[in-house]
This record gives sequence, C-alpha cells and structure tokens, in this order.
Amino acid sequence: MTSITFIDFVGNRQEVDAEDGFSIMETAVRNSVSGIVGECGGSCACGSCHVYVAEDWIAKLPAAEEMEREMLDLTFDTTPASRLGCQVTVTADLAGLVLTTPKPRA
Amino acid sequence: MSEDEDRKKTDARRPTYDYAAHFARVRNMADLTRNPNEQAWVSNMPARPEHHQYVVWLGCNVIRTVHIAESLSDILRHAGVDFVALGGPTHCCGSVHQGQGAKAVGDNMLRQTVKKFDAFTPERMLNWCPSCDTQLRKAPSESLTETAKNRETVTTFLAKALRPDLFKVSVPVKVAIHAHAGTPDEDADALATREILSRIPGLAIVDIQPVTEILRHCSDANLRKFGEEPYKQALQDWIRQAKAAGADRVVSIYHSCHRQLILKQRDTPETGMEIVNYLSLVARSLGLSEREDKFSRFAKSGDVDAMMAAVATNIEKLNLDQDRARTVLAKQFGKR
Repeated sequence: MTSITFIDFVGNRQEVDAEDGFSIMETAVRNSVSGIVGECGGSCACGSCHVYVAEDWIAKLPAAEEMEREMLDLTFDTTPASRLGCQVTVTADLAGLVLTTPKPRA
Repeated sequence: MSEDEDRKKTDARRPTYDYAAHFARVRNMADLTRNPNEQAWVSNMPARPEHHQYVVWLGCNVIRTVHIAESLSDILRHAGVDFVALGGPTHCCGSVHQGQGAKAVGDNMLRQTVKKFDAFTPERMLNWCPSCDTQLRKAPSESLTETAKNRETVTTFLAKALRPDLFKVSVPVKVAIHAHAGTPDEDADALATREILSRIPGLAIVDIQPVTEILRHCSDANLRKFGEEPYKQALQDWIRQAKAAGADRVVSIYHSCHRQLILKQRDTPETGMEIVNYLSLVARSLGLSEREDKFSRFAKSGDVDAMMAAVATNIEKLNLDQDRARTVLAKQFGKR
C-alpha cells in the first residue's frame, strides 16, 4: 500500500492507502475522494480525474504520454502541474504523493 | 451547464467543450430514471469478466432514455439470449469527441471501448447505436478487434431471435414507424422493425415514407446539420401524414430519434402524437412488465418538483446529490 494525500480546492485533506497497480483515478473513486469522478472509466477521454501534482512531485512522476497531453489540452483549468489521474499508476515510488483536485466548474 | 456554455472557450488554446460535464449529464439522467435496484448494463468492467455468447454494445446516450435499455435487457433475457450489455459513458464510441474535432481522443476512446468486448469472449457483438456503428466503420481496421468486426445490429438480431409464437399479448394500436433510409443498415433496421412489429397480435402498421434527409438517425449532431426549425417542420409534416393515414402512435427505432421526437413535438402538442419505442411494444406483447418511459412523462410535464418527487427513491438508494438532480432535470425538461 502506498500513502497518497488528496487536497480538495478548499483545503480539506484526505490521506488514502493506495493499492499498487491501480490508477490514481481508481484509487480516488474507491476512496470517495471528492472532485475525482472518472466519467469515461479511465479511457483518457473526459478530464474528470484532473489533479494538480504538488510542485516537488511533478518531476518524480513518469512524464505524460501523448494521449494524456492531448486530453489535458481539452481539459479546463489546467496548469503545468496538471495530470489525469487515470493515466498515473500507483507504485511504491509514489509514497507521500500530494495531489490537489480542481475547483468544480459551475 | 448548457451545451452552449460547455463550449465557451477559456482562452485561445484552451478547451472548447466540457466532456466531463457531458458524460455526467448522461450518467445522472440514467441514475435518476433507471431501476435503482438493478442496472441493465455494465458500466465498469468486472475484475474477472465471464464468457457470454453476445456482447450488446449500447453506447452511451441510450441510457438517457433508460427504459429502452431496460426493455432490451428484459426482452433478450425472455428470449433466452446469453448476453452482457455494455453501456454508458464508460463505453462511449468517441463520436462526441469527433464531433468537437478531437479526433485523437475520440479514436482512443473507441479503441479502449472496443478492447473491452473481447474480455467476454463473445461469439458476436450486437450494436445498438447507429453513431457507434458509424465510428466503427470510420476506424482503421487495425484498431478494431475481431469482435468489433463481427457484429450486427440489435434490431436485425431480434428479428431472428424473437419467434412469432413468443408474442402472446394483443397490442391494439395503429403505428407509423419513424424509420431512416438511405444506407443498408438503416434499411435493414427499418425492415427488421417492421417484421418484429408485424408479429404483435392486434397491431397494425401504417405505411409512411421513411426519413431520408436526416442521415442515419436523429442524433444531436445530425440535427445541428439539418437545423432545428427545418427538423420541427419536417416532423410535423411527417406526423400529419401519419395521422391522415390513420396512425395513433409513432414508433421510434433508435433512442436518439425517440428523444428528439418527444422533445421537438412537446412545443406543438396539438399536432403531436404519442411516441413509443418499438421495444416497449415488443415487451408488452411478450407479456413482460413494461418499463415506464420517464423521459416522455417528464418532458410532457415540465414540473421539476413533480419530477424530483418521482425520482426520490433513486436519489436515496443511489446516494445522488439533490441539487445536481434538480439541475439536470430542470435543464433537460423544465418549462421554458
């Protein structure tokens, strides 16, 4: 199990034990993390698992592949810290990862 | 958020369409109106998919008119068909992305969906939605699995699977079939629907020319190309012909047509006619409990408080958000 912390847009923190091999999106949905939905089921096609990676973790994550970059271009409110949770797989190397979820769109 | 609002740009490079909001609306509508005790389709892949003879690919939008998906499931079970139905946004064909010009993402969505069919090791895939089929036809052959290539439409399958002796209950209605024409698949579905309905005791079919101008079905994208007002006008003309020929119901084949027929004619009820999907009539004649068409009821009512009361059980059982439910219902059906 790998400990990951999710922070929502108002600052509420939720620490979860993530199972290695599952995606960040699956981990968040299983743990009812607010702000992460996974509408397309992890097909990298909706942007509803958008997260901001804490600055000191950005370089430690595997780089986004082309499909993730394509979808990030179609996702609202992205920044250089943006990733799609469905495309990041939990491994032991991610222990202590901190992610923030975007403010819900009206 | 309306679809127009979804399309607002945040800056020159940034997104033009909120896919998450689009899919959420589809899923919310299904959750508010479906049987809360049993979902008629698989949303998320099981850890260990079991073999089924057929994979039924519903696509995503049919679950907005959930009684169609539920009726199909009832009918297939009644006919003893071994199947699993895959549907909802997690099984999108990518047409919504393609429609917004996001080809790479749409292609990827289709590839991811198609891969899931094979997990059930089916003999054949039965596809419901014409848009999904169009996406498969446009996709490069190498991106499709054998299951995706080995397919037929649900309606042509039903025409073979539903033996005449299964239709026990008389359904005394006179129907005009809202069929599209112009491609082999449309023509085959129209013919198959006619064959199926002709097995229902008491039912009479009134001959009306099929729709030829609106491409394959009344999808949102096709109607945008055709135009809202011309569509309403064409629909009114068509229904006038159907009434003059003695019809008392319009029968839809596809979910998209069902939805649009209901929405477009609620503004002109004086020239309208009851819309019923062919699967509802089939279910009735097979002696199955008919699934209520809540989409039609809500569209006719326009009373959001009454709709909220009608979906209270779903909100409670499925732990849905009240405010979100009200917003979704008001935007889809609220009085304008």
